[in-house]
Amino acid sequence: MVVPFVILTTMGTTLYAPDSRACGYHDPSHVAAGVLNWIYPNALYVRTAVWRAQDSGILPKRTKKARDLFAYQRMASRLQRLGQRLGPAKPGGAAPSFSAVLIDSILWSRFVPSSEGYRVEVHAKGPGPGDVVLVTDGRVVQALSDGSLDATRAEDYGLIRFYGPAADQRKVRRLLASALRVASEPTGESASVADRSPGQ
Amino acid sequence: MPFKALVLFSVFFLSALATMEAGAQLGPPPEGKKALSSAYTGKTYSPYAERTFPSQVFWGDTHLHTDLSFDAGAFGNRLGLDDAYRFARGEEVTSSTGLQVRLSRPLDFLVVSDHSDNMGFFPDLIAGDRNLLSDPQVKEWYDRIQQGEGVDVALELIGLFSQGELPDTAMYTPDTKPFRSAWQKTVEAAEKYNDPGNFTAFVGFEWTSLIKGDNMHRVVIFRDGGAKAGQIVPYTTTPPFGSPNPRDLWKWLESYEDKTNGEVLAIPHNGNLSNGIMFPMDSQYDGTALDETYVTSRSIWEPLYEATQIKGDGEAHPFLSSEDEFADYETWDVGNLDLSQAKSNDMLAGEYAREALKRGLALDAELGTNPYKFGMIGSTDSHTSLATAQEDNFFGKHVGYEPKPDRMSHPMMKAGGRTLEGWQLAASGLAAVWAPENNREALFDAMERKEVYGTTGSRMVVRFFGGWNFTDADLENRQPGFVGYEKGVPMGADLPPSTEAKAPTFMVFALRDPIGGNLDRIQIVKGWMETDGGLFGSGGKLHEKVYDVAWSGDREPGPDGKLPPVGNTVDVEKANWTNSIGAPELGAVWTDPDFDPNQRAFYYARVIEIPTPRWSTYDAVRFGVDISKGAPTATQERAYTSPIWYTPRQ
Repeated sequence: MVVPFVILTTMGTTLYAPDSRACGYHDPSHVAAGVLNWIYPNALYVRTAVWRAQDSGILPKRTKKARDLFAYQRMASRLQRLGQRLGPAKPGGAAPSFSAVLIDSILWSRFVPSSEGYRVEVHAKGPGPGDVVLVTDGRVVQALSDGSLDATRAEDYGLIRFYGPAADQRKVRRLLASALRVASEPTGESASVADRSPGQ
Repeated sequence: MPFKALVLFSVFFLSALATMEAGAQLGPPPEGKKALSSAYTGKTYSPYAERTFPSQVFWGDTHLHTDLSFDAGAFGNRLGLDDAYRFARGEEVTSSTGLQVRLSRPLDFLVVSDHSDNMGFFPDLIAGDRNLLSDPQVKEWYDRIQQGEGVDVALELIGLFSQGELPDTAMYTPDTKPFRSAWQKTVEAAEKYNDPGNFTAFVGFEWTSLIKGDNMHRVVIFRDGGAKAGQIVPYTTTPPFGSPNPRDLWKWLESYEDKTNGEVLAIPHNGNLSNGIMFPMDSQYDGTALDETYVTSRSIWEPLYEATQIKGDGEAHPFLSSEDEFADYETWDVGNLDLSQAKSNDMLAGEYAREALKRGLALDAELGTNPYKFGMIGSTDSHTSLATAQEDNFFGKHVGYEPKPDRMSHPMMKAGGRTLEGWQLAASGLAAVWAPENNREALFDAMERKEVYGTTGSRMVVRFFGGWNFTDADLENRQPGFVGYEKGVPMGADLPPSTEAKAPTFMVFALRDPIGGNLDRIQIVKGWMETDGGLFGSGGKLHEKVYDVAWSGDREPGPDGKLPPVGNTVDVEKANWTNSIGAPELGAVWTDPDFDPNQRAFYYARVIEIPTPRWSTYDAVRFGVDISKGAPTATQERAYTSPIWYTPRQ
């Protein structure tokens, strides 16, 4: 009766306490990424897009570094910064909430609009009800948060994939395209964003 | 008609008439004439016109998983049966991680061997199958997966299954419609892609027996198409519909043949993760003593063995074969399949092909049948739907190990203080089958008679024959098959009795893979059993010896009898090599210098290439990363032929 258990454990799942399975900074898990690839079809394409972007200079080159003991804290901070860059929600507007999952760590975060700006709930349990889901990578978040990459280009290179109803995706896409530009470019609401087809 | 034209016409007409008459005079060749001339022994001018022996080698993978397998799906494999077959046939596909991938050359055959246990469950769950979701518990799991708790749910499912507490709706057992539906898809896909003469798609599955984490898997392959294989559903390992005991699998195989008049065989998984129970000597894992039924059944149903695959090589181990400098190749010897139990040296003899072949000699003497009289093949056991075994085109064991910069440095498995690193995955292997044509019947029959060999990914062509009268002059024939079949028996067969007191001779010939490395050497591995006085005495000590019989260059064995290494042209910085060493082809006729007619023995050929870059070296160059500590920078691909056996006359 132990077949499927062993089948899965043969493939390299490291089993830790339930809490630490929740995100990959404490326990990277191939099963987590694999399940994600089913729920969000082709989510794992982001993984490939990231190393391609590193090779082509879209993202910073890979470097050899020692394990960062504060990796989670740094990523949480970057996600918060992203939220700040999104700016306050327009009064009465239909500012969308959305959730993001990082494919390298399976870290979920929710971005919820408020009048003071987007509130970012890092290490969420999963996507919020009805949220558009963005699948991306920690290195992409870093580039977006420090302004070296804009959201439109990120999607063009497959570094962000959108999932959810088409109309909702468009709202989130517009929001990100407007707010998350490259640092040297002017920010603001004047840019117009062409509708794009859904990412999936 | 002008006179000139009349003359020309007449000449033409009369010539044609003469030709027709001459043609009518050509009758069949005279009866009784054995050869055209004394210098040419063929009966017809064309040597190939009456050729009946297998003259082509066909390349395939007998062990591939698609998204129908529970574990493959759980690790993110989104490629199904169609993609697996299209890829094997040589088409370009997009991998589950978005990479375009294509084989360097198409395969000739494929066995999709998804796990029978819970076949098809995972895709159905994720797709929200209505029948599954009719159960409130399954619906809750589905909702939680959608909400991001996929890992927790997956592990809960596993735990409940292992305790037999899954809701009935979630149990994809052979008596359920979803299980039958998954099998039906498998059979239909094989029928769709089976193209006799061009590509063979076998119907198959993997019986996934695990005994406390010790791997006892078998791949089951049908000779038949959907008309027969579709009459059954695969055997599982869970009672009451299945069993983890191979004896029960063999009974099931027999019942399939009885019911359908079809044919089926089983290939044991590489035994290196069985912690010693794959090739028992005295008793099975459950304490049941080996008996006549066991040895007979195993010899009937398991004519082949998977000697090499992605999870390590299973031909030989350095502890068992301390004199063999090539025995430590892609060795996995840390523990069992889930690393729940550590490996100890006393387990190794029950895991490796060479030792098993030796054990078979002893069991033959004791019980009258050799249960380990198997031919050897290689296959991938890939769970990506992509049968990749070539070093420069390796897509890993499962989706988590498709190409990415850190795949060799990320641990593959970790448990109980034991670790298998990502770099330890092996880009291996392939099954090579000598058959007269490419269709199910011809390939299956070749597997049954063991006229097969395995490679670690290269496509070197190897011929191996045994007899009593081969001479060096036989090597002059550029097509060794003619003299091989005439004067001896091919790989997988038994030496015919000899009426003379002399040693057997073996003819071996190898051509390198056209896009691969040159050949370093050909060896013949002999295993034999001492007798304890009588001709068929049991309990005799088992021995082995590796003989270098052909090698490149002008190397000479040293004082220790060992041939010096061939050298190494691998450029690690560029992941390249040159064929400036080694030889494109090697051949030898070899007579056993240590033959004792009273001793049972087997002989198989091992062909070894010169060093070429390992997949981890290709990764280092392509991704600009360091090669992981411990990972070899080069590999010497190899082929293992099926053995030829010698049994003393009574």
